This record gives sequence, C-alpha cells and structure tokens, in this order.
Amino acid sequence: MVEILLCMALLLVLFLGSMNVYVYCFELQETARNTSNALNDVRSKLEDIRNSDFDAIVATYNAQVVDLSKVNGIVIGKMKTEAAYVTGSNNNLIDIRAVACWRQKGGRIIGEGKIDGSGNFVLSDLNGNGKIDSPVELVTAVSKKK
Amino acid sequence: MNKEKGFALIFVLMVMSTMAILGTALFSRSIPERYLSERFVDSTQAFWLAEAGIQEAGFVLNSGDWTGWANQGATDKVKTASLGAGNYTVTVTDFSGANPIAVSAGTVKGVSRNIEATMRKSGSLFNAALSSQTQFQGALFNDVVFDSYDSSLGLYGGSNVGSKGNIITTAASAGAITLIKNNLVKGDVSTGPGGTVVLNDTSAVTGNITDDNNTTMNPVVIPADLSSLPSGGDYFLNGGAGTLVSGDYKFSSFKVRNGGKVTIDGTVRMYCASLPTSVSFEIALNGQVVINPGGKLIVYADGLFLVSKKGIANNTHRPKNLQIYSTLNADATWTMIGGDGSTPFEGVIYAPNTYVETNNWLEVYGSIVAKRIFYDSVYSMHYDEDLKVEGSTEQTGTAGSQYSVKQWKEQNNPYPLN
Amino acid sequence: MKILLRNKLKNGSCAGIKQALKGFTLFEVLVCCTILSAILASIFGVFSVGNECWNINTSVLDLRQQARMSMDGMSREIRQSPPSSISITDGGARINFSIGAYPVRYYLVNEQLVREYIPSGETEWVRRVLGTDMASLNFSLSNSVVEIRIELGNTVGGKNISIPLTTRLRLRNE
Repeated sequence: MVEILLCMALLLVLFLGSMNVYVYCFELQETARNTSNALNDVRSKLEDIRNSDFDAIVATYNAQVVDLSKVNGIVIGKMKTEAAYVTGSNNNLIDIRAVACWRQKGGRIIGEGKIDGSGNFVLSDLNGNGKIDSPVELVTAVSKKK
Repeated sequence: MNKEKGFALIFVLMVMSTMAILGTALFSRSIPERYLSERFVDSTQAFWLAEAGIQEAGFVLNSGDWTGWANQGATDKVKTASLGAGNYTVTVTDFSGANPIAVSAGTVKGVSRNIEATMRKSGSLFNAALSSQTQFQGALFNDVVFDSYDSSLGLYGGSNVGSKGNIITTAASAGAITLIKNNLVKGDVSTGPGGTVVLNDTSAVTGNITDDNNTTMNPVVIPADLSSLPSGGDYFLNGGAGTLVSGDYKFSSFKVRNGGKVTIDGTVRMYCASLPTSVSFEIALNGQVVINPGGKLIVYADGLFLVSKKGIANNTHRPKNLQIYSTLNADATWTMIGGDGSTPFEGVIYAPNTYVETNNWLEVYGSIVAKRIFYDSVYSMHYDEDLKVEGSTEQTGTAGSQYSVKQWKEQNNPYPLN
Repeated sequence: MKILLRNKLKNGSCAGIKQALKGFTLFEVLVCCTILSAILASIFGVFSVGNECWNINTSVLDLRQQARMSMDGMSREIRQSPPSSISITDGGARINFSIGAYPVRYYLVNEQLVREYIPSGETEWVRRVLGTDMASLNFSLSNSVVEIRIELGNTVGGKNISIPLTTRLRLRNE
C-alpha cells in the first residue's frame, strides 16, 4: 500500500515536470515561428518604405500601426513604424524604425502590448521610455537622392 | 508473515523513462531552433544597419558636410555609429572623386553583413521648364512668364515662387531661342554652342544667357515588364465613369470622350501600344482623367497623344505624378495638351523625337522635353524644381551634379558565382 | 503399523502435498497477462503519441528552417539584380536575372528549389539544389519590387503540414 502511494506521488511529480518541459518546448517553437513571421512582415515593410517617394515617407509611415500577417487565420499582433528627419540633415535623411509585437497562445506577450477592453491586442509603452520595444526591431535610414 | 511483492515502481520508472526520452528529444530540437531564429533576427538587423550606412554615405557625399567622420588616409573617410541593437561602420573611398565607393558593415551581437555601393553623379531628365533640340520661338501670347516653384513645399504662389524657369535647346543657330510678345523668362536661357538668343518686343531674361548646352536626349525605353504584358485592346469610355486601380496596363488605345471620367486610384502605368500614325491616348469632348491624391499616372504612348478641354486633373498637385513619354519618332506628329482654363496641366512630358504643343487655355506646371516645342498657351509656365530629384521620374537622365548609387552589392554572396 | 503409517502420512505426505500446491493457477496467469497488457498498452500509447508529436514538430521545424534559408538566399541574390535583367517566366514559377556578369536562375524541379548559374568563362549552367519539399514557388515584379512567394509542404502521419512565406524586396541596382 505504501509503495503504491509512493509511486503515485512520484509519478505525479515527474509527470508534472515532464509536462512543464513539453509546454516550454512548444512555447519555444511557437516563439520561433512567430518571430520569423513578424520579422518577415517588418522586413517587407522596410522594403516598401525604401521604394516610396522620399517626401511622403514621414507623412505616411511615422507612427503607422498595422496588423501583422495572420497566423492560422488570426491576427496575433501589430507592427509600428516610425520615421523622422535626422536633425541637421535639412530634411534629406530620415531615420526609420519598425517594431513588431504580438501575443502568443498561452497569453505571453512578446514586445510591449496589452489586451484592451474588447479583447484585442494593442501596442502599449509599458516601460514608459517613449517607444515600443521588441526583440523584433529593424532600424535603418533613407537619404534623398538628388 | 506474507511477503508482498509488486512492480508499481517499475511501472512508474518505465513510463517516466519513455516520457523523459521524448522530452529530451523535443528539447534538443527546440533549443537550436530558438537559437537559429534569434541569429536570423540579428542577421537581418545587421543588414539594415549596413543599409543605413550606405544611405548616410550618399547623404554626406551630396551635402559635403563630413561632421562626425574621420579621415582615413588622404582620400578616404570613415564613420562608426550605434543604431538600434547594433552599430555600423561605413568607409567612403575616394570621396572627392567621380565614383566614390562606400562600404558599410552592420553588426549586431557579432553577426555582420557588409554592403558595397559604387556612387556616381547623375541627374534628372527634367532640368528645365522647356528643353528642346530645335529652335524655340515663343510664346504665342503676350506677357507669358516662365518661372519656377517647388511642389514638395506646396502649391505655386506666395513664397513658393522661384527663378528657375529655364529654357534650353541644343539648337546652335541664330535665334535658336527667340522670345516674342513681351515674354519673360525668370531663369536662365541656354542654346547649343554658337547659338544665339533673340529678345523681341520687350521680352526679357532675368538669369544667364549662355550657348553651352549639349545635353543629349536619350530615346524613351519602355520598361520590359510593361511591354511584355498582353494587350487589353482599346480602352474607350464614352461617358460615364471608370476607375483604374494600381497596376500595369497595356492598351491599343486609351480614349475618354463625351463627359466620361476616368479616376486614377493608386500608381498606374499605362502603355498605349498603337501605330505611330494612330491616336494612342485621347481625352476629348469634355472627357477627363482625374488622378486622386496618393495616385500616379505614367503613360507610354507609341502614337498621337491628344488632350483637350478638361484634360487631366492631377489632384496630387505634384507634376512627377503625371508622366507622359512619347516614343514617336517623326516630325510634325503631335503630343498636344490643351485645356479650357479649368484644369491646369501638372505633369511632365518627354518626347525626345517629336513635337509637343500646348494650346490656348492651359496653365502648365512641370516640365516639357521634346524635339520641338510650341508654347501656345495664354497662361504662364511654372517649372517644378522638385523634378531635379533623381529617381522622381521613370526614365533617368545623364550625368549631373549629385551622387547616387551606381552599383550596389552585398559582399559575401550566399552562393557561389564563379 | 497403522500409527506409523498415519504419522508418515501426517508428516511426509503433507510436505509433498504442499509442494504439489506451489505454482499459479490459470486464472492468476490470465489476470496477470491482462494487467501486463494494459500496462504495456498505456506505455505504448504514451510513446506513440509522443513519437507522432515529435515527428510532426521535427518536420515543421525542418520546413520552417528551409523556408527561412531559401527565402534569405534568394532575396540576397535577386536584390542585386537590375530590373532590366530580370525575366519571370513559366507563369511566375521561374526567375532569370544577373548579378554583374553572372546569369542566375531559380525554379522548381520535382518540389526541389534549384539554383543555376553560369560561372565565369563557362557556357553550361551549374545546378545546385537549395531545398526540398517546396510545393510552390512564385515570383512577380512591379516597379522595381520583386515579390517572392514560397510554400513548403510535407505529410507526416497522414497530417499535411504547410509553411507559406512571402516577402517583397526592392531591387537596389538600376
């Protein structure tokens, strides 16, 4: 009887530990998948910006927020672009920054964001540094060709 | 005493061994996948940092302000800057030469991507209000003024009026440019070597008069992805409304008549592949084409291009968003833009081997380049200085005074080439 | 005599009977086999589910890695080509371009992504397989922007896995 109880307790503990490992592995894979997809979206957005009329870049892309590509038919996150003229460049050089943030299946949020009252994911500067931070971030510059 | 025997523990060990094996296998694949994913992010970030370095090199070559850059030898400059999650180091070799080379290395967490760009000086196709290859005599009506503005700063008027309403020709004859009817050119006038400028009545030129213009007009090159399209036949809107959304189109002819209105919604490239003697593009009888804000219309025409009355309304008010290229190669074949005074022409026309005429009731903003130009408008012409930005129009010009990328390549090609 | 025999029976025969009584009854064996089968079935079930899960995930990871590598390699090369040297044929399934003086092309052969190029001084195409399990490949070009669409697919344990990926890139050379 004692042995049975001991074994059941042992089984439970080891089982829970294994499940944790499995869940962690699946989360790792999900993160990797979503990171690749988000990076692809951000990369394509920068290519669009590079292909745009220089004079329209700041007006069009600064503080622009768009949905990331759907994963299994669901929008899981958002991408934000920032464009600003470099000080002292006489409006001939623009700094570009694009970040992607999203919410994973288990509720974990990559980047900075939150769930609003309607249950949708929205970007939110949680650390108050004035910008949206995310591991998926691309920064570059564009100059005006004359 | 009875000895109790059982194998519950063995059972537990067997099940847990199985789960541990599977867990280890899964773990061993997930960790490298996560690592590879992060390295991919680092590599992509490094690429865009390297691009930033190239862009900054282009900017500083044109501005001439090397603040923040260090000398490297007598002919080279170098700069290192932090940006985002990493940094970039860009070196410009032979910075004062005709073809400086910029090499930019972007680095993020030890991952580097390198880009090399050879620069060259290049210019725009539209460097003057009117540019021709034959004698220019005009304008037909009194008191026409040729001046300039910059559409990137807004509409013409107020402080946005300049003195770059240049008229140039490669003709080298006497009277290669003859101004009549009290016309005023607020800008420079230039003929071919040995040519002269004649100012009749009280016509005047506020800028320089020179005879050193030897600009060549390259023939129009129809983009391959446009010419290879299957033809959509004749587009004919005889009243009513139509819309063309972003995309490439190929027609045998494009005609809008009898109050018909075609709206351009997005970037539309159109190739009207007709016979040279046929009408490629026509707006007549109160027909109109309207370019919506955010839109752009680029037309390549193999035949006659005739616009009248309400014409083409460019509601972006940026001439670079209306580009007309004629491949006609014969004298006295026409690209005619007309109006009824209600709609100005805000665009550019490039017809290097044929004639262009503006008719009475039309105010012109932009630039016209043609073999021969007949400026028969009552209204003045305003050259858009923003057209000097290289790449603002489809066809590129010849050597100019500003640097741009001539050849771009990423070092360390992923696959072999030789 | 009778007493001796009784005693003998009492002592020697009891041990023999006891010996004769050691062993398992048929019912006990059947019960044990049933219990053992149930245990092994449960272990096998766990193993089977885990194995299928592992196969699917491994396949997904492999496909995703291939998709990333293929897209990255193609992007890095195509980006260097001028628009005038790009030719898209076979309904968008093949792209021909050049990097400097070297002609290069990408297309699919039996769900394998193939890259071919002509080395300097040669006239024959040299082929290299860059990836497998590529169900579709599509290129399009508009206004100096090339869009590449790929889809990698595989069937594992009767389940279809599909990894689509699309990217756009601006051509950097005139």
